[in-house]
Amino acid sequence: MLDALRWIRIHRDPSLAIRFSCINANACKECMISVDGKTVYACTTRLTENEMALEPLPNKTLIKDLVTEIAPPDERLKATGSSAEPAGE
Amino acid sequence: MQTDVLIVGAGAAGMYAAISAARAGSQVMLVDRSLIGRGGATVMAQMTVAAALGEEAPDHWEHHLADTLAAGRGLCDPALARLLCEDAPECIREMDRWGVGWARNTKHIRQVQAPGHDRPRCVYVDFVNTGPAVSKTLRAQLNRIPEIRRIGELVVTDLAVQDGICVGAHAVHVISGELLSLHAKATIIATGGLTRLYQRNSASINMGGDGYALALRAGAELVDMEFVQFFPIGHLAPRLVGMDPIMWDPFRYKLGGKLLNAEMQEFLNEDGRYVSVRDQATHAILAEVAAGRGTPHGGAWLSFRHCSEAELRLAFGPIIDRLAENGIDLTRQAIEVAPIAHYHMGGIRADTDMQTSVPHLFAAGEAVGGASGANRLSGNAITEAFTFGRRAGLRAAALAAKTAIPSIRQESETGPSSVPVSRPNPAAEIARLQQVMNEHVGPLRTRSGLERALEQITELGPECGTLPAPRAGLDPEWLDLHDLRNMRLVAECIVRAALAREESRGAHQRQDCPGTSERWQNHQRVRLASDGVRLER
Repeated sequence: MLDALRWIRIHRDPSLAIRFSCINANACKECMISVDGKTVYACTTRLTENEMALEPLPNKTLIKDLVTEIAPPDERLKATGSSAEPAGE
Repeated sequence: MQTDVLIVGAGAAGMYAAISAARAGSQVMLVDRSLIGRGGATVMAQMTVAAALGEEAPDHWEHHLADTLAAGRGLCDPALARLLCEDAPECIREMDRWGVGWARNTKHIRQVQAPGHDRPRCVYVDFVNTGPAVSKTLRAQLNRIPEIRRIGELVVTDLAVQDGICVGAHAVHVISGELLSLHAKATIIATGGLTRLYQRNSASINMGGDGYALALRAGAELVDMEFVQFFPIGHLAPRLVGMDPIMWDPFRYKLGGKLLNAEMQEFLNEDGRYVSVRDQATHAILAEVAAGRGTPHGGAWLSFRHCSEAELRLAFGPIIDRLAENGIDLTRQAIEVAPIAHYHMGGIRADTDMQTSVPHLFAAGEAVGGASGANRLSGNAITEAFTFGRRAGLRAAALAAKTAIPSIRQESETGPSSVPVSRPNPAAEIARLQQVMNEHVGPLRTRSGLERALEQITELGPECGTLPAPRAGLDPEWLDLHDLRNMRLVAECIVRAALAREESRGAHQRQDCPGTSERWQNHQRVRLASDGVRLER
């Protein structure tokens, strides 16, 4: 799935926002998205020849496209210092 | 925003530097373009960490140093290599006290013998979990220190230099597009290496050579830029997701394994042992492929078919299930491996205080060049991150203690300009650059190939193209433009240094200049002059 999203950015639409670091080692855990309503890592989810619904994580604040705010609150620029997550949009 | 010590990059080197600077009394700001402790190379390290602990067999850092220098093919900076080896045991024991969980037997920390080491010297965390455990441990330490302000999703676009002194950095908050000035008494670059420049790499998306580009534009010198390490047995086929492509290293040091060509012959005289150092193994595999004895996807076979299911499970537990999910059964099939861009021996020139050639600018970890010469000994990368990070943090804190907080003058602004730049898809241009580097600037090089690469790199625009300001909000195209600007500059440094070095040594093999030459027993330094990238010997 992550390969497909990267392919889209290179060949079709570079404005597509996705979040990932380690590409496919499943080490950084940054590429979490929702596929067909289930929370998955894009890097380990296999693309199938069906229609698949890709959405940002439902319980996190949406930033853009598939990117949500997953940084710990005290590690953000506008640190909140609490562990409370804002509700999803 | 202001701080005593600004650290750019939150892998092991940056995190260790932050802890060490804070312990020495500094206020620290640790920033990363990704999430803290997640995005660099450290979290991906699935292999070993070398230190002369003497737990498995009597050892001394001088033996570790001798192996490091031998692997470096005569080009290690001996002072940096010594620092790495001498301070390693202390850092490893400190990590142990912090609960990293180095693998143990009943009595002591386990140490395995990796290629190039004269005795068992390499510690690790089971199962194939060294990097994640190291990251988690350092994160836990960071979180306990109130003097460290951690900020993720912040990309440093340029360092701020005033009157020749580094006074902090210009940054962009990736999520909002907000431009920021970070004022610092001392700054440490800990951004890791440049393996993202290659199409086939074992790095994270963040390893595009940012720190080298920042240092160059700030006036600092780089060194040994032609020496890019390829890890010989990176995973090639069948498709494997959810694992780092360098995962076969721990398999080999635990289980041996046979590296075979298409005729099912061992070609490295290893006899099932894991003994060939990286440059040697890389060149041997590529030579087999060139001679028509490569595997279907253009690499070598790696076989563990001599191992039983029980042996595999004992050594690697849940990893065997993860392989099964990918349809891989090592008792029945060999897998294909091939060299993959893995680490950069070159980097920012620094002394043993980790001070660069620009006052108040330090470097740490893989960002620093020189300790590994022309070929890095396995197990020395995380060690380098720990030891150099710790030293950089200490020295930056000491300098900050006697420095007033600088103010960045507006006329010295070198942050992103507001000039709009229109260009084709930058994500596609990055992919093109990666292809060029893979094709012409890999482990085997020729003058004509390097010249072709230089032409194609130059077509990407000037070495210091203007970076436009991002649009408000998250702007992925801007981030690609930022990365392309750095990658293009750093790629040129590698190619120019590789063109000039008319010999073959370690990771740099010129097919048109075979053999190591006495004349080239020296370093090439790179700096950015007004007329472009300048090379000096």
